[in-house]
Amino acid sequence: MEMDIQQELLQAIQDADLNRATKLLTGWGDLNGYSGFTDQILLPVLEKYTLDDFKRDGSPLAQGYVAARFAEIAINLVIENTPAGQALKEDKGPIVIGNIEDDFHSLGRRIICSFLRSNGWIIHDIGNDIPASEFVEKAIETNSKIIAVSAMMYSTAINISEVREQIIRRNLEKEVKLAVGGAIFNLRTDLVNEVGGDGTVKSALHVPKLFDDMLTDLKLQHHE
Amino acid sequence: MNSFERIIATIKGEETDRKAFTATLSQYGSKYCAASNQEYYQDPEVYSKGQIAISEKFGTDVLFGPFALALIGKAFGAELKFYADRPPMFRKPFIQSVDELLNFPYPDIQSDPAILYLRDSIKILSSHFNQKVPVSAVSLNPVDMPIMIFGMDKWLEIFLLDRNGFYRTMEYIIPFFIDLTNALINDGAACVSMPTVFANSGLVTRKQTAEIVNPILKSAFSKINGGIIMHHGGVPFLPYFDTYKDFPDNVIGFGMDWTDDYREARNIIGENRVLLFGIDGPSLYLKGARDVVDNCRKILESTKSDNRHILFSCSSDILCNTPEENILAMKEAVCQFSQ
Repeated sequence: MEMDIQQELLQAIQDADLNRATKLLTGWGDLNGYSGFTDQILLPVLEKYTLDDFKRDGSPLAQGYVAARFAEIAINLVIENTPAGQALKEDKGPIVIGNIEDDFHSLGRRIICSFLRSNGWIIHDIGNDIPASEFVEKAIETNSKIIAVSAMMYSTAINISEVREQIIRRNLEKEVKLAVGGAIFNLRTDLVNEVGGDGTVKSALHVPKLFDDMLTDLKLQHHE
Repeated sequence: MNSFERIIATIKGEETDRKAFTATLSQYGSKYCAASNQEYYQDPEVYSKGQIAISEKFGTDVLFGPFALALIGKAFGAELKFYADRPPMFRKPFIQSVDELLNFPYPDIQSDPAILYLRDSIKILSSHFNQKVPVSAVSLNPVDMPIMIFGMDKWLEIFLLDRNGFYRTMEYIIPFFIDLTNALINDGAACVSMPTVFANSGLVTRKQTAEIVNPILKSAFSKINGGIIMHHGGVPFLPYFDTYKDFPDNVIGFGMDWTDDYREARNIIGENRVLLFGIDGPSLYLKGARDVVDNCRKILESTKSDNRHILFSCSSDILCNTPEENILAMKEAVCQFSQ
């Protein structure tokens, strides 16, 4: 039965059909309750979708949007149905995320926030059109180990290099990783180096893994 | 042959004295105006002065009207942000919902300042270059136009979650799209170039493009009294390219992404439409002029038997910090290649 609903949910996400996905979710929840939903349904479906996405070398934004909205709805339903005090996922710590100065394309960022939240990260979303210094100041204030900066177009993505400069200027290179993303990074693979990013991924679905790897890298650096 | 004759021959698939070439230098023209960017994107005389300088300096075979799509949003009350060296961008919508839009009176294309700026720039340029250099207006197709009204996030949400709201928006916007695009043609635009956002693989599924977006575009485009160029909109065009095959004949060409496979594109779309294809525009500033000539020559070599190819700077506008010699290198390549 889990396999059937997983397959149906996956198809609904691939069709970018949120209404159908939500109906499937609530139908399953009404019958089975939500306590096992995250492990039995949500994560396997997202994992399968991520794998398919990786094989396809990226998916339309609409699919990612539906997958993220679906994850958000599912997580909220699970939270509503989880007894107080019972943790949902391991707490992985805070991160800072926003769109770089002059960039107003928040959709990708919002999708990423949903996936990160469902993976146990605490999100400090500082919004659109954010100057480089504010990313670094917020990371210091919240003790965040990862700064995630998004930009859709080349002309705004190049402003991210100022975030790297701020990290260097404040001597935080061993304390903070700079993740970069947005449509333009998929088209220009060398752009991540050009702006001084520590890493990027092709799809929002792969961001949790990137952040896990970045956190591991930082821990290793500290041990060296 | 002058540029106008060269482009007409290219559209007809006839032999030309050399390959036609063009580059998106809408913003770049501001370098030659001694005016602020705000003036450049508000005063059609200033914009036209910049484009006349572009023509004199680089001799591109097609000139472009303002590549400032956010101005369409301004006509619907959106708040814009102006920059020193790039076009204004959509910052905040004025209209928050489909119902609000349906109660919003159409911007008057005869008097709205943002629309008049777009139109007057075309009028001045096409009158100046009459039958010498074709001028393409730059606008949006009706499915993408609401991006500049609601913002991308909201419009995608409506598209995905409120299909009734999507179609009500279309009923409202299509007559405006037709009026504006035909006005630009009447003002002298040789064609209207439109980036493709909702009909490409970066945004929606293939099924959504084929079943929801394309029928609207086909119907709306068929009511335009002039040529349309569909531009790749920043992502590769090939994944859904076959779904554009039966678009109306007035879709005279496609602006491809530099990562697309030209031969495959030609095989898919057939012989009758122009393909604009070439080097990447926004990263041109990183290259050396020699490399630009070499890259362009390679492209020209691979497309030499194709009379309906125009050498093109793909993606968005060429950045202002691009050395002039890198742009001149495109012309050098087409001239060398024809010898």
